[in-house]
Amino acid sequence: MDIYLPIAGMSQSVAVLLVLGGAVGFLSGLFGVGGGWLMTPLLIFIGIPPSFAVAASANQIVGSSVSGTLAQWRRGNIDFSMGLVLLAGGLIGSGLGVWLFAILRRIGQIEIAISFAYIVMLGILGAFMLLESVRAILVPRPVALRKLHQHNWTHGLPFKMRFRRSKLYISAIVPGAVGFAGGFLSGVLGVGGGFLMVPAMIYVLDMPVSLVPGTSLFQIIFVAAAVTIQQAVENGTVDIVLALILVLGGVVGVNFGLHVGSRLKGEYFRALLGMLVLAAAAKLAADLTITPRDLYSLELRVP
Amino acid sequence: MRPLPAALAVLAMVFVPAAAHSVEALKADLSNHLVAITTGFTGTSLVLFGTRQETGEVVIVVRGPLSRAVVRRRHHVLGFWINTERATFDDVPAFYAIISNQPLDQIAPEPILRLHAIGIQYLHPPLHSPRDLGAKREAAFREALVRRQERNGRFFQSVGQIKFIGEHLFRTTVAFPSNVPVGTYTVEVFLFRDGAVIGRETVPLTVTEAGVDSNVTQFAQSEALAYALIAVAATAMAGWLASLPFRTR
Repeated sequence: MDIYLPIAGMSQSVAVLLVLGGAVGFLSGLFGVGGGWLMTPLLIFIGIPPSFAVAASANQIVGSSVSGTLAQWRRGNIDFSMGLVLLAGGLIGSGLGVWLFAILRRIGQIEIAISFAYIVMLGILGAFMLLESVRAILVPRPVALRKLHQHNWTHGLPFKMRFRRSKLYISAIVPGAVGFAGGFLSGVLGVGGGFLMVPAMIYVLDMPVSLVPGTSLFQIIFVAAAVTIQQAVENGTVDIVLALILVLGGVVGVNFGLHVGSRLKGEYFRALLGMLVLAAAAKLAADLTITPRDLYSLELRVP
Repeated sequence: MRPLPAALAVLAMVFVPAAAHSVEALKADLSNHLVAITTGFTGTSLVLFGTRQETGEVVIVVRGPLSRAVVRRRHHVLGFWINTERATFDDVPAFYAIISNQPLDQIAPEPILRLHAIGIQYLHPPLHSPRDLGAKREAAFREALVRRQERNGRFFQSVGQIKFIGEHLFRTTVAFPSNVPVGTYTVEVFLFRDGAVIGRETVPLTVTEAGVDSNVTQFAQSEALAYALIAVAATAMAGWLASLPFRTR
């Protein structure tokens, strides 16, 4: 059965959209990432124009992260004070991101900028995560002898805050900056930013792994909501019908993802995420380097 | 020229006064003058029917709203394919379809087809800013514009899809894909004989969003902020509702 998407101005199979939402939701629940970085390219792949794909993906992230956050909250896996500090940085970052998005769109380079950003970022992150987790799997360290966390230069920064749930006493600037980076990506790429924040929260903030997905999802709700509102007001590209269908598929997937995720060990979790991130980077790099079938592309602007 | 059409042409010239040609030679209409895009819209077809009072070839030209087209070309830069060149054309029909009962080149000579802009190759949208692209590159951009539109199903030409019922009546279907652009269309029906237009009729057509969808579109445009807040609230609500069945675990 097909459904007409009023804002995007095209019709699309409901079943395809539901499956797509479900698959992305599953990964979202498994890794605590919004899944938008996967959703946007998949939507483009099935024929949704990039600007509508980005906006719909931001909007559906609101729904799937509400669902994911509630599930994590019931398990007590959210550090709310950390989430709020991340969010403060995230809102500033997303505002800047949407602004940059509008500029890139005007000069016709948004798609290539998006691909480049993905390739560089995902490539570095994925390789790092994979190497680190493989090492952890091969050479297990006795947990009892580990320090609570490593001290480095970030601990010299001012505005120190105590995050009881995470057992951390660190400068608010660090999570604020992590949130800012995630929010910036969210605005410019229409993603939740979780794929950057989850590794950053594990490696930079040194949060307990069990709290990372929930806390990340919690702040993504609000960043994605802010991005959706800005996209709707500035670009008019938010298709509510498309987003709702994706959410319906997504929330079911999220809960299955969470269920599977709770049975995975930390190292395997990170190795899997690392591989996934690398695969996405490779796919995008291939798209930009393989000779396209048609060198020309067309954009119609009906007055 | 084959003898039979030639003979007919001579007969027609003898028996039909020249002035009577233009107006009454052709009558045509569409089964519907409105294409309403609703929630279940997956494309549609309209029936076009008409009568010809004289023998001749029928050509139907469907033209969508004029729009601006930006065509970009990728170049290989440091191993990556990047958009580096572009050309902007004005007055490009967002939709353009031709249905005829014979190949166009057998119906009329090139100058006549060009005059009435019948045939994709005779569309010549002006460049938005007259830059000197060079004839060769400009031609490549024009070709790409047509190719992309054909790939999207918005430009097409079909031959032999017109059904004649007896001597005078004819009918055909005009198919619109699901991504048909919204706007004001014109459907022109031509009757040709011996390479000249002997009858012509223009039928108006409107493609519009209808029902809930048109309300959604209008609301999203006029009250963007309220729409955005509703979109966020709706998806958040859907996320919450859908998580309820999993609560007990």
